Amino acid sequence: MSEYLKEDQVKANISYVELFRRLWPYGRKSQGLLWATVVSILLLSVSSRLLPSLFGYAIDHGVIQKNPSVLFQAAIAFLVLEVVKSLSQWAYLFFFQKFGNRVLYYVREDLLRHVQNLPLDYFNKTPTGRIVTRLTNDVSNLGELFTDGVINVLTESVALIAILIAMSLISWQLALITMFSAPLFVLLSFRLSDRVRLILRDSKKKLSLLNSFVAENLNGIKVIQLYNRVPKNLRKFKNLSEDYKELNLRSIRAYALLQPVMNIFSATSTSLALVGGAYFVMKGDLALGSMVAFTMHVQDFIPPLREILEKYQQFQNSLTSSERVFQMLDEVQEDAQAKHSQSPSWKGNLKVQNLSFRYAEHLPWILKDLNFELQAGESLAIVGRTGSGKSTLITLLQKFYNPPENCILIDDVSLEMIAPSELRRQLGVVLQDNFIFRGRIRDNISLMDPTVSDEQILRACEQIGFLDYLKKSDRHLDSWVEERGANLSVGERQLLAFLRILAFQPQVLILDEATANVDSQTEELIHRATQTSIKGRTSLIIAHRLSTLRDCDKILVLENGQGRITSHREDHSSLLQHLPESEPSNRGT
Amino acid sequence: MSQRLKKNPLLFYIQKHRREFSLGMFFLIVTNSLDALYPLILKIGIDQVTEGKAWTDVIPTGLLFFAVMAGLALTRYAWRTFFGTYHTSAAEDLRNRIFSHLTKMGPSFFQKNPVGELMSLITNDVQSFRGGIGSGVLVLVDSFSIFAIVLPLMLYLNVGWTLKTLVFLPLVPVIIWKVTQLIFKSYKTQQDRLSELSGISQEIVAGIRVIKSFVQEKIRLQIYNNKSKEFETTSNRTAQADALFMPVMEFGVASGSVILLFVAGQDVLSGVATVGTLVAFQRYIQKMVWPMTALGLGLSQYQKGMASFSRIRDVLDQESDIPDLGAQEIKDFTNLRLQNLSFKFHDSNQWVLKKISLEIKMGQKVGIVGPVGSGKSTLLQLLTRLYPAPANSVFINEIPIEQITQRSLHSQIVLVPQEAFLFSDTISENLAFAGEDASEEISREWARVVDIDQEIDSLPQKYSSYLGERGVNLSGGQKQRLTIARGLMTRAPVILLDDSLSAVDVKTEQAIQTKLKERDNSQTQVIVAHRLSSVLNADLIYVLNQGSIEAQGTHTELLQSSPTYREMAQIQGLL
Repeated sequence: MSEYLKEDQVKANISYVELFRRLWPYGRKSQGLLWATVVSILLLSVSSRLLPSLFGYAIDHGVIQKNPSVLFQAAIAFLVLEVVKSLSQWAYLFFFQKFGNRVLYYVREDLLRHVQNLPLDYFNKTPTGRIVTRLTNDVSNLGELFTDGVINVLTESVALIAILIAMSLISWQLALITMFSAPLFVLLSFRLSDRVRLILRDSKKKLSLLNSFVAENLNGIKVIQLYNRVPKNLRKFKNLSEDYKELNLRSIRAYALLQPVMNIFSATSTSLALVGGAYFVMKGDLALGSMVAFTMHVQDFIPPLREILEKYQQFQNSLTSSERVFQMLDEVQEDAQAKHSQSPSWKGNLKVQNLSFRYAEHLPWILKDLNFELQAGESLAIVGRTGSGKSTLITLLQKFYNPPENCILIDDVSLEMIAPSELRRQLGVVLQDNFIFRGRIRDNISLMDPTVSDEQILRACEQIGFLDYLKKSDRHLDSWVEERGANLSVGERQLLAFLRILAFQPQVLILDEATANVDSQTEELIHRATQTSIKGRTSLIIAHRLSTLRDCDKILVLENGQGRITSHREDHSSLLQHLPESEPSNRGT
Repeated sequence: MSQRLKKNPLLFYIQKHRREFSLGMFFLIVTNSLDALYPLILKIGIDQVTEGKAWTDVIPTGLLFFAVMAGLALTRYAWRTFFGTYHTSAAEDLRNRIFSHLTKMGPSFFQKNPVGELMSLITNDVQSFRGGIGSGVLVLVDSFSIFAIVLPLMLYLNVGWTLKTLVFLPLVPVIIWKVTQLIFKSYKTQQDRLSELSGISQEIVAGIRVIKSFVQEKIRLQIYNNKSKEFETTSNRTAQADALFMPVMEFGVASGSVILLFVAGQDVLSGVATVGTLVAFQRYIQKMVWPMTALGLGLSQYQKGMASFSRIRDVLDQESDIPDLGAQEIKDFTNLRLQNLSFKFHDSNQWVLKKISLEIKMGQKVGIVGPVGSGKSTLLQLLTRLYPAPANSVFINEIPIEQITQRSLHSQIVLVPQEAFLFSDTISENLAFAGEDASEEISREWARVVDIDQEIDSLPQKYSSYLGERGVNLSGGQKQRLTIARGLMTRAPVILLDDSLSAVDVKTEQAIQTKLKERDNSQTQVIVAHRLSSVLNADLIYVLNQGSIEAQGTHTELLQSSPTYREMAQIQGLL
């Protein structure tokens, strides 16, 4: 499961500018929230800085000048400022996250729309897990920009600047004296923080290694036990676990070093503020209250700095994730345009002529000069061993790969002229392993397409006696189907695929018969479904059963990409030799 | 040892790492004490300035301040490293315990506990436990010590101020607790929505072929968008609650400071208290807010950690149903005997196998056939003790299987399971899985037997090719053949094949069987198959039906004697 976690190692090449340039189109749609955030941040910074100054003012004008009414007014002002501060603090956090959630919604929508229109080839080459990680984890990580990353670095930077301004306003000389060591410490802190980040990255890598090791070992536990591998794998695990611990400890130590550095900076600046302040007060250049306010400002300098150093890492995370998301958005979609508008009523004549195909220049030919023709309503059985080109033929017919021009014609229109969506609506496909969605049985027949009416579903079921079949095991159309049809048998999953065909009623049927063991009752239904589906449809069937061969009008024997049509007078047992082994597991879905 | 762990994991690990734990705690308290000192020094400095002392007199105070803070930096480093070692080591220990426990469990355990959940146990729950006994405990100790140090200092500075300014403080933990609950609750719904959303995208990607085939892209996007919108709404709710946290904490400081300004003014004016005291006091109010906030956080983190531990304990408490308690070693397989073997899974009432008696002698080739669900696979799993057979019903070399060490059992009898599971490693590592000599020559020899040598040689990396998602993707038939080779390579005297050639075509299957025979005809083979062609040449075929032996004999005999067998032969075109 965690193979794809390993790509945590990828380093981001995308720049911040690029990131924001690409995010802006999504953000532009809700600018109001963004401005509300900016205003709140400014309010927060100003009120935060006014508070120490007010404290100083109260000392100078209230305490020193012995004026109780000033003290009272100051206390009231203090209260008001605190309220403003709290409100703006809440507001900026909320507005910005809300803004972020909106942006993420748009990103998700865009990304999924894009992904669904990528060519099938992309899905064959990219592990499902990785694509799903893009859609979920990476988008979530991107979201941290709004909850943890950008927002913190932004507000805390504003806070730091505000502090520097407030200090300079009180006494720029004192500000210079106390802050002269700041660049040094800030630099040092960033260096240390970088180190922490690197260690954390390593430990994340180790963790995903550990996780994939555990996942694989648990999935294959039987084999491990049967082959006496337990002691060896236990040792391996302990080593991995130990490595991971060591990295954890290193990150703890590195992080523990970061804290003292900031403490010492705080110590330096505060003691300088104290002594320097005393000097200026004695000289009469600075009021006592201002000096107190100054030391308060100085001490407020550390928390924002720490926050920036910590969140700066998440920033990096989001950057890597955003790069992956944008990379996916840059993948080329399949060509969805029709070059020729086809008349909507299809008859279903299929003609394949001189069809040769290979997946790429450097790869061998899969299909070599294939020719056959089917009149509307005719059925063709295809037999051949693995690698003979059967699956390729199916994918070409569905236009998941582009066939060479003028080689496949439906109703005399060449495939390249027809839009994929238009084509696929007319081609029904039942594969060996058909994907089943989580939901009700009904939803798996209609695929939740609102254009498929309940009557259509019912009629489809009645045609093969599916409802009675369900009833026997106490189920009905609204019964729940688990993820990937886990609570259905292989045969039942196949039945659902047939029912989809019967409900959607395409003109052409492509069927890859299953080889799996099915109990006799389901077997009977499948047989009935096969016959019902073939009836009146142009059908191409990759046959695994002799009985199917008998039912078809023509037989195509595929061997190394070359085909010949035979009649069924030919001895069936010689055809048996061509019956294939099951398909590679990655092709079926 | 492990009993004490289960009873009180916190105490167990504190004792196990008592040096790191106590040093960590010690330095933490020193750190907090030093931290509590600095407002006092600040007060001295400010008072010196107020009294109009020469600025040079303030220098020692400044130096003292620096010294305290520098000391604090050191002790802070110390407690972090010591304490970190304590909880990191504890997590490692627990992780190892869980994994090693899991390796002892049989299939019935894994049916009850899905791998996904166990994974989450080893990663998330261990992490959360570490958080509980680590930062959870830390935050609690930290808060209490700050409270215990700062409060007396405040009282020492001014009893009246302390009572008045801290009047709202007890409210802080209550409000924080409420806010945390609120955050927690909406976060949970948010996570639920998120996992639903992930579920939908998972299905869209995995089922893309169906979606494209039926041109359902727009409708799926609509379904996805609806969920996405729900997720956004719950996220906003979380944000709303989440944003409350900081302002509430601030409320503690702010209310105290405002009250301070109201009540302290008079004292400072009248000279009872100094400006320095006022400043120091304000700092102390600030320091008191953290423990009040953290108390709830620490407690909830500790609770979460313990909740995780109880999940871990539930798994650790499950005993293996196939404990390796046998003491007898077997070697040189002679025979295998089942005597009245009946079996049902422990959570079911249905007998999977009923009173099976049979004997298999060295060198025999035995086939077992029967309809789906007749108990064939279960039988093989009982013979390798993946499931526990009732005592004295399975004998190997006339020794009851439960008395045989698993190591020696598995070295005599090897099972090639139905699902062709290979590890993401090189082909040769996968072949020599039981730790045999993995030279390419030997691997190739066995690959030839299962007729896959040419296919491997056509791979660019040959036997060093990596399998799995990032490596070579093999077809079902190729995987099956590799797993058979893996079984053969152990050179165990008995090999059990559980429908292991179902995805291989008949011609190849026959070729494999011939080569096997040529190579080593003394090996005992038990072949479970759905396809009758796999057992045609067996010395003896058993027909299993609903858990009982319905008939036995050779292919030709069974065609006469067993209706089940006859029917199967008919369907498969063998008649």
